[in-house]
Amino acid sequence: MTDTAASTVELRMPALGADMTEGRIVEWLVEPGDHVDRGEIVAVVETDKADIEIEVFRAATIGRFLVEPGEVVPVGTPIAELEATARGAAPDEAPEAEEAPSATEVEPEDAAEAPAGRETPTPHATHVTSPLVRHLAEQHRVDIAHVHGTGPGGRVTRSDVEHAASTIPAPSPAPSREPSREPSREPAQAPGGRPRVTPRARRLAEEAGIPGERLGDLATNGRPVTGADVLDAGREARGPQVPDVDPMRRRIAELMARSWREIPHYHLERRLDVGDLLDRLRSLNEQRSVADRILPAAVLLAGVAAAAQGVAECNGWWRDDRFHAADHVDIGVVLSLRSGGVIVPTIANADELDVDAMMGRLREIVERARRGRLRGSDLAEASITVTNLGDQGADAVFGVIHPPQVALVGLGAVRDDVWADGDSVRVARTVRASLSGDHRATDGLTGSVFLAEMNRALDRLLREETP
Amino acid sequence: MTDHRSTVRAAIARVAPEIDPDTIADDEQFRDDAGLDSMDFLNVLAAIAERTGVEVPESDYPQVTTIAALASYIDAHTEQGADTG
Repeated sequence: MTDTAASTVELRMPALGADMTEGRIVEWLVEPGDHVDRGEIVAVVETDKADIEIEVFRAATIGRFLVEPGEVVPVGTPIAELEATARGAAPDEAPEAEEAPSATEVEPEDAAEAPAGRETPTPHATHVTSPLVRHLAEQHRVDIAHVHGTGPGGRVTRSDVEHAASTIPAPSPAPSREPSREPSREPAQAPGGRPRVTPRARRLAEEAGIPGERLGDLATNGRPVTGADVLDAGREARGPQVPDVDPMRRRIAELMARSWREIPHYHLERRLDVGDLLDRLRSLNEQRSVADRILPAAVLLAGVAAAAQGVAECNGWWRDDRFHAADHVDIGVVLSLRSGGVIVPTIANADELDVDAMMGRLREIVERARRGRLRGSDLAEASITVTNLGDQGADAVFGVIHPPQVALVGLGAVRDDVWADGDSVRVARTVRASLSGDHRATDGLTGSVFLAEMNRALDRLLREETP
Repeated sequence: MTDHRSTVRAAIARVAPEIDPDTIADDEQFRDDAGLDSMDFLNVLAAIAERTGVEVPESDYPQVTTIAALASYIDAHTEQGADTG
């Protein structure tokens, strides 16, 4: 390509999952004028599932931001202009980050919707936080924009918030909180004698419909009015006993209730003797450094992938009163978050991954989920879901199918159990694997075949790698 | 000589940013008390291997189930080596 003329393209709010209709820009991780390469992360978008990192799929220079941090916009809305350069650009278009060929679709008013006179929050690494940390900050009424982050890359951690909570005075008399000194970093009053209001407080007040002139009433002891003050005022107005519903909790509630309402579940269980498999895994791991070791969870996922490929009736979606088989095995992996709730990133094309690659993908999604930052590509629609509660110690799990999928595999803990072989009885290392099936799509026989196929697949795994 | 309990805590903070490692007592079980799952534990060991060069083989996992035990294990395996932090 010799195209040297830069052309303007749009970065749009991506659809991160089939049911996403809108997203909020949490922050921009780049600034206008920055050059970004293909695959570079430019923004963080908050959805009702999680905070998601948005990648660009071509080399470009960042132009204008069309959407400011904090704003919620529908999927497909242009959020930034990119000056596309031919340099290093790959021709393939991203499914996640759609880019229109020209900027002409953007109405100028779209960009002008940002409230006038608002101070632009600095898109800076110190604002990178997990949803957990932000919740904690709101609980403690700490304005996270003012917290010094000590985590990697200046990230604000849980202990930073707790530290800030213990050193910043509560906005209203809070008996549980020790009185402490005034923050001295900013004058509490603007030169005109009016109380200072932080940009975040102004934004939250706008969202809550609190008139600007009333914001001054929230000032206490001459302190600037912070976002936490506005949140408090909102809580008091709603009454003291109404807790905020966590968006993730609400999302899980909706999905699970829909599943139970719509899907006639059947549940099957099969005990798997995994002793030989774990022996093979152990001898493989013995030769490996810690960083290259494989967990049983990855091996079990490989078994599920093989079974889903073999029993296509369990791998796909129930839509419009009929089953649609998936072309690939895309496994949704249920990850429990210590802060509560679950998140279900997808391991795409799991049927094509060997055990090492499966472990690599599992490691990536766990790491990103722990940081509260999945990528757009982690949220591809899954064709089947696995929940491995064995890691939390449960013997067996009979899960709820994630609609519109038709099957969910539940894996319990590895346990020593009594196992009968003909007339003899021995102690075996076992895993209780369950299949929850949608009875509209399959019958118990198909589900049984699935579990048998999984058993056979696990028996075949790691045979070449070990003598 | 380095107190490897802080090495272990730093590794936990890196692997599980939502856990404050200072809230984990030296003799708490990683798994049941601190809530580290097998992936977290593996990543803690990887971070320690990177930092100290000490690779804990799987057969020794039962010996290193607490911060204190893992720190002692690192001490024991770096004594003859050059690594003193």
